[in-house]
Amino acid sequence: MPQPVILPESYIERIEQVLDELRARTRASYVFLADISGQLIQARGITRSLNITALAALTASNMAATAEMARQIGEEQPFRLMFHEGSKRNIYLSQVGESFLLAVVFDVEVQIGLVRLFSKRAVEELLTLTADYEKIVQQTPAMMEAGFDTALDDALDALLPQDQRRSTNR
Amino acid sequence: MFINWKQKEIKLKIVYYGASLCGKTTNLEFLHANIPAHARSEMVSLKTREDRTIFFDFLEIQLGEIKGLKPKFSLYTVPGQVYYVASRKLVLQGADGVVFVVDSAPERREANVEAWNNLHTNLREFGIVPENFPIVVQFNKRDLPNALPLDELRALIPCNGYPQFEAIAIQGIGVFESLRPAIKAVMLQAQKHL
Repeated sequence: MPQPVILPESYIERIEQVLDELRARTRASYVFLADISGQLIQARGITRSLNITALAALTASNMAATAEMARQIGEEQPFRLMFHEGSKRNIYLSQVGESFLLAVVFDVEVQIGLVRLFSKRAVEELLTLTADYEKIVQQTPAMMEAGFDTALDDALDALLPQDQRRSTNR
Repeated sequence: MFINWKQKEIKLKIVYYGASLCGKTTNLEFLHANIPAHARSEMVSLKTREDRTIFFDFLEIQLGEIKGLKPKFSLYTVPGQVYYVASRKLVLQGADGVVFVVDSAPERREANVEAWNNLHTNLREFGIVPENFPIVVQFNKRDLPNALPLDELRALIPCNGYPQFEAIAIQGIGVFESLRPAIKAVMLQAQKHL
């Protein structure tokens, strides 16, 4: 089975601190951390109008595609960063170790040098956090309440109602 | 699988896998159209000009709060065409479960087998034992006048032991029914870690 990533509250708060500082120093519109399979871990500065989950999935696939580009041109490691320049907004993506990526979305008025510098620092801090990960996870208690399965069935009944006429499960 | 204890979120990834034009995107389009907006994201599709999936389709479903936890399911499709085989593997990365869509058309026999074998190869390359991995099999396009009999499809795709459903995804038949056991199976795996 794929290895689960379990992020305790204290760990998330430390990630938030890194992201908040990065956002404040670069005056970015928003910043987020995702894993390379496309799951969003944490985002800061996000507005309701933004489909951040989809953006995380897209940046992860972008990162994966460029890793393949790197391989094709004979690079031994994936590219460490990517920069997309728009007319109003830019996006700057950094690889965080082998499993995560950091994205900074910022207006064109912001200097790219600032984003580059503080992204690099944030990546270093996030990597330090990753090193503590095992220790923190071991201290995290389990939290599944009794009756979860029944409640899950009820939620699924409501969202994905079964049509008895056409059910063909064998 | 991602568990964020601060937000009490459990995020799980389910991938729709199968040969080209077997109906993977159709499954997601039906889900997008029939699940209330508050419980799903917008659908993202990376398509070619010919309307074929080049990288993936993506849709997130939220079940709301269940006993203090908020399960969220990222649904992806892989590109079916064989020349996008590398991106199939990328999309499969980190998957917690698979809905394998089988095309019932007789001329798609070999394509189904290729996709099934390719799924198993890719899972093994990720260090996953396919026999222990949550896979739901959906026999799609059951409305075709020349649809292959189920026994023949089962002989092609050795899927005994996996939950199986018949579907006509374009009419929405069997779509919810296939997703439901996939969600249950990936949640069951998640609970082992809680």
